[in-house]
Amino acid sequence: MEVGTEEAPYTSKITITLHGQIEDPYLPIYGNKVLGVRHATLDMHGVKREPVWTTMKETADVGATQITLSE
Amino acid sequence: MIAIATTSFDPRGSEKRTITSVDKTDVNSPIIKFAEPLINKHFAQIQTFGSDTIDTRAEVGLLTRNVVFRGDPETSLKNTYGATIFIHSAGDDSVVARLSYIELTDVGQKSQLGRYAVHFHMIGAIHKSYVKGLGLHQGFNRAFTIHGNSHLRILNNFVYDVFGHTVFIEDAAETKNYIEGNLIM
Repeated sequence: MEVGTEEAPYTSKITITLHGQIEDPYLPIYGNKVLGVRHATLDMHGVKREPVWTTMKETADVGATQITLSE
Repeated sequence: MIAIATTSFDPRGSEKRTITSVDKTDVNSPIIKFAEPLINKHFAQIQTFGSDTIDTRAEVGLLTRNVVFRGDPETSLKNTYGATIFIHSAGDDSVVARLSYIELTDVGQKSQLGRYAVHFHMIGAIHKSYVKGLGLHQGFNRAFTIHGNSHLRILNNFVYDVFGHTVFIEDAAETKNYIEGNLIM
């Protein structure tokens, strides 16, 4: 299964939604409501976001509606 | 959507906000704006104690991505029963999963053994697989599980609000896995 590749990430918006409940039929080992990968290749690559996380530069007080980042 | 880390002793002091705009007038310190005011104070200062400096700035992570994998929003939260990715076939490099910069939400199945958001299960060496730059939030079981695998890379992910261990090394016999730069909140 492929949603974009390392070289060419998927650039549009896509949402993959799995449905199911605990009592529904299930695969041995893999379960249900599952994307099972067996003797296969799964590629899922979105648009690169850097940095994924950082820190704040200044303290934000109660009631603030903005924050300043350190990078 | 972002999440801002708690800086008090209350782990529930972290807060999630939807970005309304970003001011990059100063590209080295962008300002992120949101509509809903913060409920808690979030401390940010690099402190110096004698010759030691300690970074006590609140962390901020990005949760959303353009590629989303999720459990259905109608029942997943209500039943704490989300979607999972289960990677398994026995044998070194018999399976490959490369995930980068995607969003996972409403994932994991509460109290169900083995039903984790991303579960690498009894494969062996997996040199080609990695989990990189993900935004994972609202998980009902552990986020990333390494069970009986080596050479897996888990890099620079941001995980917010999951039940139980976030990165789970299951048997403690797993070696040569590379886990670096992840923010878990």
